[in-house]
Amino acid sequence: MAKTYDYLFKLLLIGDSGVGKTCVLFRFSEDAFNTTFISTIGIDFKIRTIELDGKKIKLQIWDTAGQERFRTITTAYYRGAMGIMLVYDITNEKSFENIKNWIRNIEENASADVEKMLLGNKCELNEKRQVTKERGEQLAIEYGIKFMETSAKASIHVEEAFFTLARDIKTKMEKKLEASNPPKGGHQLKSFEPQRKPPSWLSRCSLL
Amino acid sequence: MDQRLKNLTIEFLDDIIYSPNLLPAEHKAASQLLRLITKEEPESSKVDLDLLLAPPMTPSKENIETLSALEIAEQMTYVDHQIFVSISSEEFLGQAWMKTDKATKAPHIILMTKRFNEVSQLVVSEIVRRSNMASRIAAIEKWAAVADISRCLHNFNGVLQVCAAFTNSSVFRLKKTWEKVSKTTKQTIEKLQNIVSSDGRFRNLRDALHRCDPPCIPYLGMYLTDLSFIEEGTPNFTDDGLLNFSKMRMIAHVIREIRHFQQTPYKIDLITKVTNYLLDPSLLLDDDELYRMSLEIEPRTSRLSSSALTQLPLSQTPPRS
Repeated sequence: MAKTYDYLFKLLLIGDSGVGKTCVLFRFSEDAFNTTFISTIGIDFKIRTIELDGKKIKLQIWDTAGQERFRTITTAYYRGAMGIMLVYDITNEKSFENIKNWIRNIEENASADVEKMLLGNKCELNEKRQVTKERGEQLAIEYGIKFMETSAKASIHVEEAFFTLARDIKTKMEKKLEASNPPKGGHQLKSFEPQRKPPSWLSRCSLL
Repeated sequence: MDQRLKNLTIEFLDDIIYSPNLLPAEHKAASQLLRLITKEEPESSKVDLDLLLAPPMTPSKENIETLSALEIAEQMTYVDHQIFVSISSEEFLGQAWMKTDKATKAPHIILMTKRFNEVSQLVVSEIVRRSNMASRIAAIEKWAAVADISRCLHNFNGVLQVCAAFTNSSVFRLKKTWEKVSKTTKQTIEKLQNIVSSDGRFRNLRDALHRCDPPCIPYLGMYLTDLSFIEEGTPNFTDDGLLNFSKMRMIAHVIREIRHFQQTPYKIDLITKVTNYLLDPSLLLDDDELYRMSLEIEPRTSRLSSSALTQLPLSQTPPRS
């Protein structure tokens, strides 16, 4: 029987409590709860299947909503994660400053080649802004990751963010696959034109 | 308690009781509720939390060698249970603990979290501070015993406090130390970690909670996630502008379960000598310091890859059932 998807990616949402991660998750995932909550107990993640270049990609998105302040998020949670959305709130300076702590946490616990992306959420609240877009961009460049400002509430860039992250994971994975089985015949992967120049692999792998 | 809301509710229940158009069962239900709501709250012998949690005047002279695992586990349970029972149901509403006014809207949830992290930090500090391998192993074994007794006391919050310390990167990465930890201790830790594992939305922990008889201290974070998902995933009002009762019922369901565990007290007496140790801030090292010391104890191997890290130190395979 045909599989319902070609790839399965595990993604995590990470960031301080109150930055709107769960809102981002519900905005993007296909099965926002409504009255089915009790029956969803037991499932750790939300699902959305997207299509990229003719491939069906099932995204499994994990969130630790509400318990960010308990310092229990550890190796088990990060295990197998292929992509991480680091979320801060543009109206909350502290949540932005904490991104570097979250990154450290990721470096200590997650696999070294996990794809990361930085999101400045709640961009609809421009009048309350404490973190400029430039600082977000600057931090992203520093870590060699992509960046977007989003609004889960106003549905701005949420789709784009997940698609971008998924695409980067897919590209990386296909590169790896290709490296392990050299392509036959004239098969060529399309090259994608990301919005921002991707950082070099060297800089990203400097930890090794 | 909101006095105005209480009065309105009493008025409403009175209306039902005296309404001639309702069924006897409805009259009966209303009078039962009325009796419950008007019952005088017993002046409980509430412990003064500020006093209980105040750091000791002088640094504690105790340490994990001088105290028994049982004493430590019991006093951890005593302190955490006092905080746990003082959380009022209102603190769980509207994700109050995540809002900017959390200190006033959800003070006891914040306290519970703070205390959770402090105990974890104490455990990490007590392990990493010991530069001698043998005493480091002894510290790990002692805290594993504390966690196991906490399990027997149904203090799952305590089990997770210690388990979180073991998986903290400063401790987790001490490969050589973990190799020397006894097999029995490693099995105990594995068993405990399995109970408090977040897999399946804390499936095992929920099972354990539903099976155990109070007194008990659940891990609050689990309920906070449930509540966050209910709050964010469900609208307060239906499309017709009616209150979404189904959502309110879900919230009530979670809060009722927490309240159930708040009802039964532990029969543990306060031992100040031990709580002074548990609450002594001078024993806590900060994260940077801890990581630096951890690297000193066991320097990073030149090519420490993530794959090497994940194999250590505890087996990651699902436990045998």
